[in-house]
Amino acid sequence: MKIGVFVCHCGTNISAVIDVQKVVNDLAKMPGVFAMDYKFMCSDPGQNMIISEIKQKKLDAVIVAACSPCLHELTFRNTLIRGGLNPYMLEIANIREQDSWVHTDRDKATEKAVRLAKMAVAKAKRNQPLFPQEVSVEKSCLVIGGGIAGIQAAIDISSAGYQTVIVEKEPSIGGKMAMFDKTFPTLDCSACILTPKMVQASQSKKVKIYTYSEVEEIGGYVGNFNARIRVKARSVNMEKCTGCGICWQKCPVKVNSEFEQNLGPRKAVYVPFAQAVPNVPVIDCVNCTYYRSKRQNPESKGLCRICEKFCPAGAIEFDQKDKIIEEKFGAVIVATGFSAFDHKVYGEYGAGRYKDVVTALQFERLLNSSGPTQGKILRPSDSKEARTIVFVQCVGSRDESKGVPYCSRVCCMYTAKQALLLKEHIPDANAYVFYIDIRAAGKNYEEFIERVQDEYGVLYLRGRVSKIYRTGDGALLVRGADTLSGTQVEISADMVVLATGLVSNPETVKLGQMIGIPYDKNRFFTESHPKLAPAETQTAGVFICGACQFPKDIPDSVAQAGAAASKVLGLFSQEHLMLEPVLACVNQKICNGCFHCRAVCPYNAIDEEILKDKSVVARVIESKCHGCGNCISACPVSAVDLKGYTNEQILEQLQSLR
Amino acid sequence: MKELIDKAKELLKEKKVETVIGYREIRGCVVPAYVDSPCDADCLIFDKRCVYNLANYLKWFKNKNVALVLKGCDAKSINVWLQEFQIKRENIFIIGVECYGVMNEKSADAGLSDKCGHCEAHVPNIYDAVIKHQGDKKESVQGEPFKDIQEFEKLPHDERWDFWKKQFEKCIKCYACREICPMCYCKECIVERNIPQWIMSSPSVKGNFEWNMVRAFHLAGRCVECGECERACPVNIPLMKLNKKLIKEMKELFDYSAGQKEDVKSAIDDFYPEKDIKIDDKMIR
Repeated sequence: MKIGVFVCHCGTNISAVIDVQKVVNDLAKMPGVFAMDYKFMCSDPGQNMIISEIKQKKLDAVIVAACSPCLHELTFRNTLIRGGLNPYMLEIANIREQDSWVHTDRDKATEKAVRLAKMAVAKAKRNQPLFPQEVSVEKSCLVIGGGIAGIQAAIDISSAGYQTVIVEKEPSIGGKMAMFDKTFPTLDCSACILTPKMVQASQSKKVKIYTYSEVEEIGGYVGNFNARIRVKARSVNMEKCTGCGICWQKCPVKVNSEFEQNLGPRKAVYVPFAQAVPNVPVIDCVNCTYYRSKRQNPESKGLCRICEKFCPAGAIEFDQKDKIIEEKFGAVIVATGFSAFDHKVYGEYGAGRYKDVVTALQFERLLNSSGPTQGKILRPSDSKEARTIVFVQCVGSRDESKGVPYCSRVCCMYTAKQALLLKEHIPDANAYVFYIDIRAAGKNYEEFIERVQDEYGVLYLRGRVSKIYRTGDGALLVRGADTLSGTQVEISADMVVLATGLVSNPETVKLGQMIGIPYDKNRFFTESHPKLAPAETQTAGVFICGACQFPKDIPDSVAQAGAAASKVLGLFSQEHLMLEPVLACVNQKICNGCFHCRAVCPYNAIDEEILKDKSVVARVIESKCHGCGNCISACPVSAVDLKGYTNEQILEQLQSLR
Repeated sequence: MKELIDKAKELLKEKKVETVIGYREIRGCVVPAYVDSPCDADCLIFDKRCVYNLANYLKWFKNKNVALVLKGCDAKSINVWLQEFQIKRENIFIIGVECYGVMNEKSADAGLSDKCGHCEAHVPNIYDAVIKHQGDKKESVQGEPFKDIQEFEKLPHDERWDFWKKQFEKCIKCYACREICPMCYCKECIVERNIPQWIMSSPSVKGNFEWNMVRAFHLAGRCVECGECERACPVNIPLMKLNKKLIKEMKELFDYSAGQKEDVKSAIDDFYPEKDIKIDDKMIR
């Protein structure tokens, strides 16, 4: 077997620390090894040199001693193909990241480079040509989450002509954006720009929307995912319902509306908001009189049933059951969004006991003309107009002691917007903002903050609020520090708005484990590469967008949704996908059939096979295998091997170090 | 004894099983017995000389209907076999025997075997029929089950190393420990693999260390403490000390003991992402 070793200088990145010539000389002494060096192996002349040497010297395998395989493995694999070799006959010895960049001693670093290259030679001697496998692509995309990111991604994919399914757990799509009043910095009405998108998605023939539904299980692999979707019982027939609204007008049960952030009522049969898509109500089984009476006495006919009596379309179906839908998808986009931080852990801000200390999302509803107060800024405790409002920033952001070390990115901007809107509603109102730093890095963001401060006269105080008290007359006394003037400040306010941060959705962990997306310590999904693959994930065919990855404002979410959609379209434009051949394989002659491999496989890629002697052994379903190697470490007899990284190859590498 | 013989006869007569594997006495020694017909069943016995773990014989009866006479400690191996899909429950009939200790074969006095000292399984936790114990029921010695291991752990590193070096020097690589172990059922043992060769085949100190460590690790979370390996070792290496150390770690780290139930996931197959496993310096040392 003839092996060519190509040592790269990487300009001076490698050659400044490593004596490249010595590496070449030492390697060339090995039997059957040809070695040479070049300034930039990855350049065109460098690659052409490899190709011509492959042809001239009739090389069987190639070692490139250069940078990390993360960077140029693909480049050199293609070089090998052009040279007429199987691309998996390539080995990379990483002498940059693992050697020249981390060492200073020239002799020792050179010695290490020689050893790394020798290990690669030892492994390459046992390399086998590997061939990628072809799989078909199911050209339909699953979008989990029907907020602005999910809607945008679905619109983009469907407008390219591919089937898309949105699964939303709430009764209507729209997500958090539907709750907002105006958007910064342009002050567009949030609903006015969102609802056309909702309608566009719902009217598209290529978009199917399952609201009040959850994804229960996802299996399969890129191009061929199988999803099980639970469509929860609405108790209302979606085909028959006309959305006339009689049911919720007549319903006698009033409960706090989640959409109105508990500031207003809704009925037990309800649509969350006026522009809901679909405009079909759901019955809240927990509070509905009929279901409550049924739970107490299953034999009875059930009380109330007023909605059923009045419904002109006969759409109320109390006996509806959850429906399970199983569908195949080629790609999955996860856009599950965020949750608002729960400020109850801040004892100094009243821990949620003061009614007039509201969250930003609650204030958003108070500002909204279709909100519980029809856009009048009335305090929740006594419905008096609030004329002095203190905004407190970084509640549940940049606070390690509360478990949220990160900046939520949008609070500075929405606080400025809310202060501005307050001034527009009540021009002589007083607005104070306590902040740590103002982060306004975005197009026209800084100008917006300037405008709020200069034109609208919102008073910005740099410092934290240490305590909020309630005084006898119902006002709130806010005590804080103004670090710029170095004084203590006390403000008697009608209302306090906490700029609560964005935290991950509680279902992130479950979903991440089910689909195979890693999440970080803050439980946001981790992208495949922070710079170069921001919408991709570790699992091929699964993409992320919106605030489930990290707090984002609307334009960023929409941009990432478009990015995710374009990745899906790239996938769908291929007739067949080529899958990496670095997969597990079972030596069935020695397999015991203990199936520890099946138990540890995260991709359900192990199946049973019965041999002629009736013994049951393991088999790898190649299209499902990702080559993660869990099965290999679990196998007590080493019957499982990873192609391209076999036990034999690894032991050979280790032995070459002796 | 009559109960046991009657049960065996009944099973064979009704053709529920092909073979009953039990114990018999030949010239004053207790040996394993395969009984194929009801008329031979009279030879079956059970007393405290019945030390062997008969579950081991399942290796040769994998897809056959057999009945086994099993003590509490031995029956745990069946649970592990079931967890690892080696047998079908419906293929085997377990004649459980209530047991209050077996004798110590290796010492001359009439005391009980070491493993019986902290026995918690006088009655098997899995059986189809159970034979009641005749005579006095002596409860096992109470106290800390891992006392000897804890004391051994306290010794300095060098002393422990020297101890095992001395022990493993004795090893002749006869693999009796493997042959007798019901958990060592691999078609091809890792020690016999030569592409690649993981373990040196000659009985050198290094190769012996490799073999004995690998054997112990392959039993982590699987060893049911039947003590057969130590009993079978011709050069008296205290193998159960190694096994018990791993049993102790499994218990403390994962709250897992092998062979307790047939329908739980084995330790290697289970994963609790929400459970933080505390690894202290003591373990890494």
